[in-house]
Amino acid sequence: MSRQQRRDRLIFLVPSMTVLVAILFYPLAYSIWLSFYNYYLPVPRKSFVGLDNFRYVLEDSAFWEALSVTARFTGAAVALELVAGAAVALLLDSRIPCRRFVNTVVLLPMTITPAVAGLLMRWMFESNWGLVNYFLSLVGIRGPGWTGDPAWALWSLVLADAWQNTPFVIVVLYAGLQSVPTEPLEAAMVDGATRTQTLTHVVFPFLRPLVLFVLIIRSMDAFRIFDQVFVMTGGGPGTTTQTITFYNYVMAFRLLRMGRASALGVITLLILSVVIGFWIYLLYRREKGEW
Amino acid sequence: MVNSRRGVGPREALVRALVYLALAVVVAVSLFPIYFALTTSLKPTREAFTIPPTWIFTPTLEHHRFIWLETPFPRYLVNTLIITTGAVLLSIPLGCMAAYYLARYRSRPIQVLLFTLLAVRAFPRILLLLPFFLLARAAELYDTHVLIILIIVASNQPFAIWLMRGFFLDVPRELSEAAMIDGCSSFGAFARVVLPVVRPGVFTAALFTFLFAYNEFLYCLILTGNRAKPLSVAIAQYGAEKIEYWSWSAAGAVGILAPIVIFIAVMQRHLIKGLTFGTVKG
Repeated sequence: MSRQQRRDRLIFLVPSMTVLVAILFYPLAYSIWLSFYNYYLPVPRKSFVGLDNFRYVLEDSAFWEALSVTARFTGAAVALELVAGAAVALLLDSRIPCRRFVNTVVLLPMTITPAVAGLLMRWMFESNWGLVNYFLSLVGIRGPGWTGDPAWALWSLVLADAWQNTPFVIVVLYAGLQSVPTEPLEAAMVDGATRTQTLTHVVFPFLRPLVLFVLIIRSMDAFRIFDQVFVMTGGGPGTTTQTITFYNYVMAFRLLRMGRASALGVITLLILSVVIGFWIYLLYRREKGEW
Repeated sequence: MVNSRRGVGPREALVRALVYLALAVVVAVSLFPIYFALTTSLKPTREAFTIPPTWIFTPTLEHHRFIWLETPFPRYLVNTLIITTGAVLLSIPLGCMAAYYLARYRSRPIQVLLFTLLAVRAFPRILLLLPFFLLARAAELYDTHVLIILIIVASNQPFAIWLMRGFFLDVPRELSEAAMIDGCSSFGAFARVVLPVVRPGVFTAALFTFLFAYNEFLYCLILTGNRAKPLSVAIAQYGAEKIEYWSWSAAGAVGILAPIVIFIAVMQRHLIKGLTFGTVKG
């Protein structure tokens, strides 16, 4: 490393990294340390309990239920968003009137404060005067109780999440479609490929890295969902929509079990790291140009 | 994409009609909840929650008047403004500088650092919330703007760095080298020569940091009380015991949404680059 680089590192990189270490990594370490202690907030004394907190969490049926809720939510929401997003991106890519207006409107839900989006969705899915059930009744379907119905509450969250986050998928894939190089498309046309063939053999391979990118970002965020759960269902009815993050929140700030909550957080981090590690491996290969 | 349609036969016309219909549905679904909040906030309460919905009504500003004049909403708005401004002003310079360094130099440790940053984006926030809460109480920072600003700045660094790095990579190295030969310091070359070139990038990063801070909920929910509570938390805390509360919530929701909607309508172009982390040249 040259003297110049060393000096640049000090000027440019160190300030940002100091903030990161002080505000993210130090608390992270503190949290990991806490996970080995029995710490009930009203009692100021902490006592070292080794792996007891981890054992507690792993034997806790509520943890496994929360994990299952989170997995089902993430899988359903991300799948729905990907399919709907790809469809809308293809629609937008054809010649349409008022492009600017349509693009802006389609983007809008994504920029809304998630807590407020939760509120809007709670109104839409209200079982008595909510508009979703009203529109369903117009076509002769009697809608379920949505957020109040244990069988439908998680689906309300999935649909709400899709409303808010499908635009992200749309934007990325639409931007991708716009930058598909024209030469292979023209070549395909000259060779007499049908529109479907062009899509599957020319366009989709080009979009593959973007789909991966969208999958990574969306599933990371869906896995951590909290705001909309807090506003729409509060984890209920019962614990049917209690996601991992929500359960962790309950354990820390309602039950005040700081040590156990830390252990739960660490376990979540471990689960996520395995998944993320795999994704980063895929991305890294792309960075090196191997696809 | 190349548009392969040429003549307009009856089949083409049908496809066209279906595309428009589908788009109309998409637009309606996107807008409807927002439209509902807006009309609810303008309806007298007894007309707001009826089936079938009241489509025609005499608008009233009563609910808006109520929340802005008779509740602490203005104070929450000020808190939101302090937090967002602070977050943008700190996060962007820090992020730009780090990104500049990480774009200029290549090495194995830098690669590792970049992917570590990506992993930080995926941290379960709740895992950090707990120590934030305990440490903030110990440091007497609980319920202060500074605390929230610092947390947002730190959480936003990975995004700001990745985004800005993409922009800096597009700037030829020769530019800063020439500036340094002409007598600029390393920082001078960055600030006076390179930074102006990536101005659109800085703008995009600022826009996203603003949205991120404006929308932050979980940290604020736990780490603020009456003093520093922002709008996002205030709105979620209206209960549902009385039906009037829903009208007030709707008015509050409109109050929060209005600036974003206007903002986005004006800056749509800049959003795309940021959303894609710079993966697509937008």
